[in-house]
Amino acid sequence: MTAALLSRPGSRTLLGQFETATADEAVVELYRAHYAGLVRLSAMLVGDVGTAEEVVQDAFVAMHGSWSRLRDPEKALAYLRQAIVNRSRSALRHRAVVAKYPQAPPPDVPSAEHFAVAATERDQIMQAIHALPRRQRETLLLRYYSDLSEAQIADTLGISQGAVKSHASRGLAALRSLLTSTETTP
Amino acid sequence: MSDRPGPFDPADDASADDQTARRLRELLAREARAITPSADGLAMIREKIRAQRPTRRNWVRAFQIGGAGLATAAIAVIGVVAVQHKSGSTNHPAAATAAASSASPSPSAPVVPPVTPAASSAPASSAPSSYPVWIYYVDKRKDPQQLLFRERAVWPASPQHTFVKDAVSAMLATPPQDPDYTSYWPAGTTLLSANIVGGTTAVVNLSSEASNGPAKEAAISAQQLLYTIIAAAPKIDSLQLQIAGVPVTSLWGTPLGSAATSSPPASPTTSAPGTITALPAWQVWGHVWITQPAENATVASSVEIKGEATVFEGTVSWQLRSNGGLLKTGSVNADLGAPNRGLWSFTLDGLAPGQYAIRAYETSAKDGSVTFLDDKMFTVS
Repeated sequence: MTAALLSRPGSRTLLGQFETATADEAVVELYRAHYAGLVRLSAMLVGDVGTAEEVVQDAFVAMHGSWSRLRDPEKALAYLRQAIVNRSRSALRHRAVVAKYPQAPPPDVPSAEHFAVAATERDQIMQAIHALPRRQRETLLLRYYSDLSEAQIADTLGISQGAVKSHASRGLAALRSLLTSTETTP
Repeated sequence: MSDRPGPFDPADDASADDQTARRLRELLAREARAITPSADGLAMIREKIRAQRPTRRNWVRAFQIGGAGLATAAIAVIGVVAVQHKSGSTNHPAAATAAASSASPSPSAPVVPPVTPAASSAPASSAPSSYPVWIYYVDKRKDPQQLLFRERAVWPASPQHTFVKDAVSAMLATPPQDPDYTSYWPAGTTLLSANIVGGTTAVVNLSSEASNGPAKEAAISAQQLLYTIIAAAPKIDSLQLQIAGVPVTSLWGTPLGSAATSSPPASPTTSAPGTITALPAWQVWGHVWITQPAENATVASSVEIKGEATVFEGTVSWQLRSNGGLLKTGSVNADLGAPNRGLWSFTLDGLAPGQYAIRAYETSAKDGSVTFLDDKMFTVS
């Protein structure tokens, strides 16, 4: 019965602590640790929180269904990221208008109120990010928001590390003038 | 004098890149902070998982909980073997054969664990006869109210993989390791049977000893039992209790079901009389848990303290004590604040050999007092 007990479906592994567990437990653990961050990533990819929540929830459901193959939180998280980037991409494709980041420039803000200005700058940058080619946008968000390594980004996007490097530097170069001109602190 | 350009030299491309990157990081972090995911994400995910068609795994689990019967046990074990082959893991083929053969024991001895000759002929893997289960206990301290805490216990593995039965039996038979916790279920209470109806409701039949207990602790004890079941079978969300085969709608003089609790369950459609619904964790779990080290554990001079918390802004305060004196104090942020359950951890380094107590709690916003305390004794060897 040894091997049967070690790997029976629905059981906790007897080898480790509880890092690996049932699909249900994996969902709970990964939800706690990563749900908010993944929704935010997806929201910045698709420009809409409601869609992002759908995307991330569906990715969790798919991960749950694939747990027997994954059986490891690290692999499951990589799977989630991949699924979320792919699903965000299709969500974006199916939508004509991105409400949160309109293509028309926002009107000038007459008030000098700090937060209004800060929000406008942020919107401008987000617009610029959305105007970038898709791969550059995804690379920048995974690198500078999700804090992934080049190898992790390559794995998530299914491209080489060299391609990640070039997407990142091109994307950054495209944003440079905007980002340095909006610099508010030295 | 330096022969390298200054860090903010605009002519330096690498430095300009760094600056752009840093600025982008800040902006994205700020943008992210403005995005608030809804609080019911987990419920939505569970709902979507539930809505999917039952998989073989669900079938196996359904049989695991219900099945002391021969046929069900056989199907469950065959299911396991099939999944093993599919997953192509490192399973010993001999062990898989043993599992298959155990599916057809002689009808006269269905309850006795079948002898598995293949297991004894495979000395490389020592057969695990027990496995870890999670048990919930009730805090003795009314701090300020009695809440649930969780401990890990080791329980003999049954060949039928009856996780729910194992968990309930373990809860009834195992005293807590932490002296601050207790269980109000009367001594001698045993599990007679456990089944799942409708996919999410556990029907648990306890022996007659269960009929007398402290009325005040009935509601929390029912939640203790239900959460212990949920830990073994996370799809369960409600419980129908039987004592000596008779369905009960009250426990120890306290009505069960939605009437027993001040706050109604989320979906009123499921509140049949006597059906105990799992109250949200933030209502019934201790607001601060220390999940590592376990009570009376022996650890190295560097020890990672881990826990969970449902506290305001995720801020957990802690104290390290030894011989009654305060050695260190600090606070740590859980990754999620209330009403979510956050995870927290920190490391204590350079501890001299000896006995220590780690206390973790929420500092009361009202008067700065210690509330929702959990503490663990441990020894540094």
